Amino acid sequence: MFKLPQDATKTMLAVHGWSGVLLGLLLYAVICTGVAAVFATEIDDWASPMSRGDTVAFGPGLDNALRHLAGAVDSQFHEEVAIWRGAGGRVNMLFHRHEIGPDGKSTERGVEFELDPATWEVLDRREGWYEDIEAQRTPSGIAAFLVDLHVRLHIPEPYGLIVTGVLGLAMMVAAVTGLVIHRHLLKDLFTLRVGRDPVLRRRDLHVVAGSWNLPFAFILAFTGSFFSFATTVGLPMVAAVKFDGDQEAVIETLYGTARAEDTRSASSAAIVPMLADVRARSGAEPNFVSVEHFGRADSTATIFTVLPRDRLVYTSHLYDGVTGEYLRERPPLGNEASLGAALVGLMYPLHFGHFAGTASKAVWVALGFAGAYVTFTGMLLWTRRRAEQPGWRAMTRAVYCVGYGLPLALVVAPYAFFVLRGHDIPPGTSQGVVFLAVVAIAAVATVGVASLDRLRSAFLAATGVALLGLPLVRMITGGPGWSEAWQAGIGTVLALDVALLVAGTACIGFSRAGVMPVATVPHAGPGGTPRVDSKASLQ
Amino acid sequence: MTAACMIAVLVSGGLLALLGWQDPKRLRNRPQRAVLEDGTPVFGQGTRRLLGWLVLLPGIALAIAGQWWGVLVWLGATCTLGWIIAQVLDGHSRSWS
Repeated sequence: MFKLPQDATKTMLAVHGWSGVLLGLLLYAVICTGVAAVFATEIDDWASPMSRGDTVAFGPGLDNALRHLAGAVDSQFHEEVAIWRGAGGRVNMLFHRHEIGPDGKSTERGVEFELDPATWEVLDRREGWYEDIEAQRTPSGIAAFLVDLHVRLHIPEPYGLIVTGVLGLAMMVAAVTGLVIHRHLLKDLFTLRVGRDPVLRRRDLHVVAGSWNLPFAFILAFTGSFFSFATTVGLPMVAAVKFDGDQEAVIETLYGTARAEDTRSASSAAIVPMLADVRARSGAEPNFVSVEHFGRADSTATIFTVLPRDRLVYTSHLYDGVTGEYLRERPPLGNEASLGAALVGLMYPLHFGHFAGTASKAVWVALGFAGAYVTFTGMLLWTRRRAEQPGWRAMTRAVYCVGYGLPLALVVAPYAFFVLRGHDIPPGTSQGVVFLAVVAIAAVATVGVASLDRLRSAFLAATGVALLGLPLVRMITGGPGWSEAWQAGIGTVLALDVALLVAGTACIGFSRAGVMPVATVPHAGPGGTPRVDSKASLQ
Repeated sequence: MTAACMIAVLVSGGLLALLGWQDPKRLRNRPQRAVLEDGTPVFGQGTRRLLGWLVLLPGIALAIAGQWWGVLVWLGATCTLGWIIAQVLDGHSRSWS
């Protein structure tokens, strides 16, 4: 598409390759976990279903539960009450206040209740700093582990977010340079050369996948970087420039205070009628309620919904917390609708792909899978072309280790969740230990095995077996069987079990095939000595 | 996903399959190159260009109808289908495992 001078093309190719290969392993991890995180809600519902699948999270009885539990916690935590739909349709109710945490950073402290929406029985009670409460949320343990790995690679804030933001930038650079250096983007959309030089073949596989995925690679990288940098770089920068470093002042300026402060006591309006009003106004189901200054005269309630049908930008609805009167619709940013607010609001559906239910999520998963494939094949292409150098041979092994070992570790980690659920170990810790153990085993295997093809087959087969075993271990550890799930209307359990069985079977199938018996590609033996295999896998 | 969006994806996917099936560069690079006996593709350049623009038409229609979420689903699904078609037509689906 673009005709650049030869030197410029070479430079661009170098930028493209280095931007990918330097951060590609981490980027691959972020993309793989992002693919799974698209279905985070469904994973929660699958791992920790309630006894009935059709329970409405915010049904009648919510107000009684709210008032009852408000009386059971210290009134200092009435500063804000967050209520949302948790795993399996549970209702999570967090009474909290905003404080400076032990590490000197702004955070929350309070008490969280986990409720059964059918009976309003308290299923669990957690208290402390927000991070501690979050770590104890067992029902959403699997998705939380995946999301945390995707968002910050389990690196402490703010460094984890900065790292993933940089990875997003690297992905954008790779996407843009990939577009620029590819002269025949449209002509080559279906060109996969067969039976010729295996290097050309690998290049074609990478380029074809990259070309089809190009628009979304840019979109996902841009929106991901936005989310990573918004609070770690953008907010502090604006605060430092204009607000003497006061980030709370920036937020207050952006969103405004809902009402003038009035600390007098007042009875709170019922939430359930507000929820009905929101359903009528938006045509969408509420999924998050925030009540500020519960029990005070200046109380307000803000209600968020899933994205209404045919809309891409979410809004929220503000109510008087004492009278229940509807005050106004709030855009994603600021108090009035604006282009900036719309653009900020657009970031969410573009990144999460949750704007049209399962259909858009499935498409986003496919696009994410393509992104992971492009990253993986790109790294292999780059390292194998330099296979005569020992350092790059080692890198090829590292790419195999992460490329096939990481999905295996991600699939095995939930076993720890199921087996150790009910014990005192937080789900993030148990899964983290197992995840790291599998990664370590994969690394040792990668160093010790002579044939990378065999390693690839073994990793794929192991991933397939682990996928096939997940529904079984879910049922053995107390989860509903298929008949029980069917009768209770918990469709997510059945759907994800079937998806896991299909994916597992596919992995085992791929493990038994997939090598091209024509290539002769040198690669490192266990001692770093160059070896030549009679056959080598394409990827 | 509404019926309109699904139809849009199917139409664009079908057109992409036609384009891929008769893609001249793909045919030139096949080990057994003959689709027709003389190895030339069925569609001429003008037809391929027309099909290429027609691929975009369902998405444009969704945009005109104001279904922006549908445009995104259509675009994502069409790109995914394009990739899958390229792999399937290649006949070496095992190679991308």
